[in-house]
Amino acid sequence: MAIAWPWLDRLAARAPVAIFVAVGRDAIERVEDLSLDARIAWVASPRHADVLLVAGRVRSEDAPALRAVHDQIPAPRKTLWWGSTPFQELVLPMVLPLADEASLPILSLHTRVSNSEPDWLPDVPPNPWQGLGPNGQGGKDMMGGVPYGRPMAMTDDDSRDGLQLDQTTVQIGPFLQTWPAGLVLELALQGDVVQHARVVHSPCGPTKGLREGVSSRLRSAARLLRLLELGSLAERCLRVAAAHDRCQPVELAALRAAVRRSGAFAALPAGLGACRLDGAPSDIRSRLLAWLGNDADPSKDATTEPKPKLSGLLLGLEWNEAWLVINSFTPQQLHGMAVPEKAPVKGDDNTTNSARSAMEHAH
Amino acid sequence: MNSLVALLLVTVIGLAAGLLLQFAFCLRGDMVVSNPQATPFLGGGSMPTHAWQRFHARYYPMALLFIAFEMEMMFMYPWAVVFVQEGIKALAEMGMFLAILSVGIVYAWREGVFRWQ
Amino acid sequence: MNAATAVGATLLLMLGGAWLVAVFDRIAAALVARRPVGSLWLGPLQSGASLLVSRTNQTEHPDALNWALAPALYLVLAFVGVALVPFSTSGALVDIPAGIVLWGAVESLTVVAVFLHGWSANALFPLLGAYRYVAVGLPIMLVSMFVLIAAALPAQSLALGAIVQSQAGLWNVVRQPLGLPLFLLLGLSLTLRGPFNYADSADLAGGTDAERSGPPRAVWQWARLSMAVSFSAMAATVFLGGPLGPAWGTAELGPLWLTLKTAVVLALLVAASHLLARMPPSRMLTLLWTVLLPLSFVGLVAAGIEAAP
Repeated sequence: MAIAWPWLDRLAARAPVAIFVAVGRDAIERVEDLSLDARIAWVASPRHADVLLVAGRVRSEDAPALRAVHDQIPAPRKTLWWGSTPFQELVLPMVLPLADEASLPILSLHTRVSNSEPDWLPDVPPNPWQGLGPNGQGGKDMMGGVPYGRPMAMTDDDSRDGLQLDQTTVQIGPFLQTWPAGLVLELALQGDVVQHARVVHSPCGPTKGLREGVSSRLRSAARLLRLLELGSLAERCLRVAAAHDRCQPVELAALRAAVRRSGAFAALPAGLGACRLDGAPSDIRSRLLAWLGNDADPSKDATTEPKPKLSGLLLGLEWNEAWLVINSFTPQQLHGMAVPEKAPVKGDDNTTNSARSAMEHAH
Repeated sequence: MNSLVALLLVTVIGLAAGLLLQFAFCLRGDMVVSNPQATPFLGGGSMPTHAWQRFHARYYPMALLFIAFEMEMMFMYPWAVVFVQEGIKALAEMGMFLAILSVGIVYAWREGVFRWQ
Repeated sequence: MNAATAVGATLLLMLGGAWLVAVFDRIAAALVARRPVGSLWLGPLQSGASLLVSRTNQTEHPDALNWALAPALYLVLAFVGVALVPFSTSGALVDIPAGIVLWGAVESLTVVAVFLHGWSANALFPLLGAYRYVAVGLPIMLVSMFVLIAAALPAQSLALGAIVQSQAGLWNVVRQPLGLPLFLLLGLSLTLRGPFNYADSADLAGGTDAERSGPPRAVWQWARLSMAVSFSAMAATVFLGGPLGPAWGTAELGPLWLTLKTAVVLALLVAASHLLARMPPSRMLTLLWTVLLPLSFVGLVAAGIEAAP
C-alpha cells in the first residue's frame, strides 16, 4: 500500500477486488458465477490481480505452472484455495470448500491481510550466463552463449512459403482466462501464426455427471463472445445461464438476436475450425449458433467417428483465430480432441527437426 | 498566446503528468522484483527465447500500400484548400489519382496481401 | 484567451472528460449485461486509485525508457488533440492554419505509442498486441484522413476554425453522412476499444497491458480515456459544428455546446465499443482496404460535388 496518502488507500479499498483464477477440475462454472458479483473483478493477467484464486483440484503436473503464475502477481499477493488442496510447505493457507461462496472470503482476504506471500519458486535467473572465456566471451552460435539469460529466436522454415524467419516455441499454459481448464499447448510460432501445435497436457475434462444442457452451452457461448470483445454480452449470457441453473425460465431468442445484431456471426470467418463433430460437419459459426439455440437435445457422445485432433485444426491459423477455434468446443468435446502427444525429436535448443536446420547446425 | 508556444506548453504538461505520475510512487521500492515475478506471463507456460523476433515480411507490402495512399493524402491537403475555386475539374483530376492507386489495392488484394497469415 | 485559463481548461477537460468516459463505460456495460450499475460516480476513481496503489511490475529485460515514455506519449497526443479544438468561435488554444494535418500527426503517433508500449515489455502477449495493432491502425488512419479532407472541402481550408464556420448553415453530419460513422471507427481504433481492440485484447490476456501494473498502468488507462475525449471533441468540431449553437446563443456559450456535443460523440463511441464484435485481423484488414477505404473515396467525391460551385 502507498505510504504517502491514506485517502488514496481508502479510495482504493472500495474498488472491486481483482482476482486471477487458476481453474482446476470442475470449477469453471463456480468461477463464472463468482465473476458476476460486482465486488469481484476477474482479470486476465496476474499482473492486474490482487488475489490468486485456485479453484478446483489442480493436477500435479500443473503445479509448477501454478507456482509460476502465483509468483507473477505483484506484491502484496494473497491466495485463496477454493476446493483445492494447498501445497505442503505453505504456512496457514486459506482454504474453502468449493460449495461455499467465495466473495466474502476474498474481500476479507484482500482488506484484512496486508502481508504479502513469498515466492513459491526459487529466485534464479532462467539461464545462467554461459560463455567459454574468463570474461564470458566465446561460446557457440552467433551470440557467444545465452545473452541476458535467454537466447534469441533462431530461424526456421515458414510453412507458408519457406522463408526462413524467426520461429519460437512457446508453451501456453493451463491458467488463462478464456481457455479450457488444464490445457497446455506447445506452439511453434512464427510471429503470431501457428506453425506447429502439440497438446502437452489435455484439459481437465468434466467428470461424469456434469450436464451438457442449456446452461453449459450458454457458458461456452459466453467464453467465445468474450474473445470477440463482447464482454458485456458475455456477462449477459452468464447471467441467463445462472438464472437457468436456479430453475428460472429463460428466453434465448432475445439473447440470440442481440448476439446477431452485434455482428458476432458476421465477424467469425465462415469455415474457421471446420471439422466433423458428432456426425455432422460444423464450423465455428454453426457451433456458436447451436449453443445459443433452443434445441434441448444434449450432445451425443455415442458416435463412433474419431474426433478431430485439436493440434491439426490449429495449423496455419493466426493467434486470434486459433483462440477462437480452441474456445469453439465444449469441454466435453474437447476432452476427446486434445489428447497429449509426444514431442518430436529436437535438433537443437528451440528449433524443431527439419532438414535445413540440421544442415546449418552441422557447421 | 502564440500557437506554437501553446503547443509546446501542452506537450510539456502532458509529458510531465505522464512521467511524474508513473514515478511518483517510486520510493515504495517498486522497482526491485524477483526473477520468478519478472518471467513473462504465458498462463503458466514458458518461452525459452526473448520475445523480440522478426515477423513475416508479408506485413510489409501492406505497409508499402499504406505509404502510397499516405502520399496521396499529402497531395490532397493543398488540393482541398483550392478545390472550390478550381471547380469540378479538380475533382476529376483527383479522381484519376485515386483510381490509379485503387488499382494498387485490387492488385494487392489478389496477391493476398491482406491475408494476415 | 489567456494562457492560464486555456491550459487549465484543457487539463480540466482531460480529467473530467476521462471520468465521464469511464462513467459511460459503466452505464453501457450494465445496460448490455442487463444488470444494475454499481457505484457509478465514484467507481472510476476507486479503480484508478487501486491502480495507483498497486506495485509496478518489471519483466526480464524490458526497454525501460520506452516503456515509461509510451503512456506519456499517448497522454501528450490526447492533450494535443484537445488543444487543437476551438472552444469558442474566438479560436483554439493551438490555432494553426493546418489543424487537420496536426491531428493526422496525432493519429500516426498514436500507433507509435501503442507499438512502443507493446514492444518494450519483451514478452509475447504485449508484442503480438503491438504488431496486430499496427496492421489495423494504419489503414483506418487513411479512412479518417479522407473523411476529414472531405470536411475541409467546403471550408476551403485545413484550419479547424474555418471548418466550424463552414458548418454555420448545415452541420457536416447531415451534409456528409458517411463522415461521422467512418470517423467513429477511427475513434475506436485510437482508444483501443471494441471491434478495433487489437492491442489490449482479451485473447492476449490484456495485450500490451498484460505485463504492466501499478501507476504506469494507471497512466496508460488514463491516456486511453483522454484520447477518447480528444477524439470526441475533434469529431464534434468537424461534424457537429463544435462551439456553434442556436442563433439566439451568445458566443460565451460556445464551450458549453462543444462539451455537450463531445458528450454525445463519447456516448456513441462507448456504445459502439460494447455492442460490436471484433473480427480476426485478416478479415478486418480485408474489410478496411476493400470496403471502408472505397467508401471514404465515395464520401470524398460526394463532398466534392456538393461543394463545387
